[in-house]
Amino acid sequence: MKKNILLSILFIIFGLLSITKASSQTNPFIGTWKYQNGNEIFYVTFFQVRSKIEGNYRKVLVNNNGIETQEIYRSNKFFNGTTIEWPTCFFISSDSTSLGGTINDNTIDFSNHPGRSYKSGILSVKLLPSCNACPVTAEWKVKRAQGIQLEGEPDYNIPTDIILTKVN
Amino acid sequence: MKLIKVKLKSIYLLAFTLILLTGCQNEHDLHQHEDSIIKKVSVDEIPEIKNFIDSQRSLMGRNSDMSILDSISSADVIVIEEESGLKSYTFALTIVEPSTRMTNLVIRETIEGLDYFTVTYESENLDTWKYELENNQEPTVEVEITKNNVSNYSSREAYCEVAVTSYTCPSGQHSGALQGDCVYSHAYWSYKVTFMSVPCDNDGGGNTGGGSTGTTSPNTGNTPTPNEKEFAKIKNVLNSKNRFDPTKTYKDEIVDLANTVNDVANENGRYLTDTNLVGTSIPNFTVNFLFTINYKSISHTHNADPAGKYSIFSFEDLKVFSELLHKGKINGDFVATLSTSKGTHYALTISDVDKFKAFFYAQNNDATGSNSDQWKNNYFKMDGMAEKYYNNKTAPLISQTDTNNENVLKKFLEMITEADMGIALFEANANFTTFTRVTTGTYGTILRESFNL
Repeated sequence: MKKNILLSILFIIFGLLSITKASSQTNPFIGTWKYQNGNEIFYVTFFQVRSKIEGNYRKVLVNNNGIETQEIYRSNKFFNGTTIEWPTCFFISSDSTSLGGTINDNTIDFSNHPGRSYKSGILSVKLLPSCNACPVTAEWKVKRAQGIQLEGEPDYNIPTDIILTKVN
Repeated sequence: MKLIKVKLKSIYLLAFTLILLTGCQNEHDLHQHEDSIIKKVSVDEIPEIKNFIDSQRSLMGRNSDMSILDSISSADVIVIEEESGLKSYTFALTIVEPSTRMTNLVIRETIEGLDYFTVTYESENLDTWKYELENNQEPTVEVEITKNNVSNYSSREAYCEVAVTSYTCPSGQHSGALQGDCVYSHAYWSYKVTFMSVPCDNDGGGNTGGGSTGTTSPNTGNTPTPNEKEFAKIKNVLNSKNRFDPTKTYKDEIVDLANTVNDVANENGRYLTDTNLVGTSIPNFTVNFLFTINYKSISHTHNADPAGKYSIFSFEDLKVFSELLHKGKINGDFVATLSTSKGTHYALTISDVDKFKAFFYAQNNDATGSNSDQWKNNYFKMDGMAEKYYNNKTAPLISQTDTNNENVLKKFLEMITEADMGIALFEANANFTTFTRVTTGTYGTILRESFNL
């Protein structure tokens, strides 16, 4: 009897793992992507949290050997003066070829707008045609959602129009 | 009984009043003065006055004064009790009057007995004055006050009376000994109209000498419903005259603005400042407004962009209003209007400032160690709502390409209800003369209540 119960539990665990793996495999956006401009690299990582996709982004400085020497910013930083981590900056959904929704840029200098700590935008990530041996690439675009704005509203600090390459 | 009609002028005596106010208590206790109490009651709560009115009707027979007694509004009688214990009762009247005039009947206790008279308030901007009264604001409109004595107890042929409007700082709110040291802005001061008997001069008033003969307080006869209260904000803003061009009201400006909705490239905008200056924003793909101005109203268009624009306010529009509210550049009287190339026209008011601020808390407040839980909860609620209704990649409930305006309106109303956002929405016609308050009904219906400007 005990043996049967143990087998059942193992069966369920393997089943869940398979589903998660399949889900990751079928969603081409899960994983880490990067965009390099000179010595700066912008990384984006998408991951599955239950039925949703969430993510983080960060920008780093590398030396001529490609070794990271400095982090310029990251979305999952701490709130000012605390060790409380920022929640996800992505409110997104995806299908087999595109991903999109709301992205929040929390890396902007809002010193002229006390109280503000992020700016929302509309994110669109579209897979680009690729060959078998070629790296997977995607077009990354961020634009402001439709609406009036106040004079002096800062621009986005994160990239708004780049081609990402999938790293892993 | 000889009727005397004495023309009075309102005189603002800020510096001379020493009466202190402790503030509003509830709907039926309007103000507590150190030397007088002002409250609102129903006539049924003051049987001695009700009996007096009935007896006057019998005594006087059918004449013009009788019709006034028959026209009193029995609800919301303003009662002022003086330190001496004598009271005055101010009734709104149901008589039909021009929009520039309002008449009250005042019954006043005197040592000799009860006296009564009418007080008429006249101004080209009486609606604005009424709005300010009903919203406890500092009156900015000068009103001519006329008193008509109708009681047979009166014998004031030798005297004229002058109405003095007195403002008082809320009690205990002084930073120094003088009235001028009041820590509240003038908008929060209380006021009352006091009649002073004075020897008549040639122009029938203007002399501030003589003794006090009683007090009254204007009674607009209105206890507005929540919808009426929101519409009153719209009426007040749209009837505001452009200080640079007094021949035009702000309504005229936004009707002009609505004629630009077919601009393919750019949105257009107008605004009304708190000093009634009208400004025009530079046409732009996304129209901009300064954050250094105090606004009464912001108006903009959703133009005929071939890619499609919302037939209703966008989430970013609401965010900007919340930021202006947070910065103190707008207040609860703010009105936003929108005209779109899809043929829709809307006016939006903030019905609950606290709720509106609370919904956009994460947008306008930095997270700190002490508010991080509140911040995160609000962040997920607000941005989750933006994603669900506007930004969802595949199936946003409100879409820029949706040409079914009724569907978009329905979803917008569902959103503000779900969010408990504290805003009220009115549909308008293209001339901004008729308005319909729209709210979510049961089973996906829209409830509508009409108003005319």
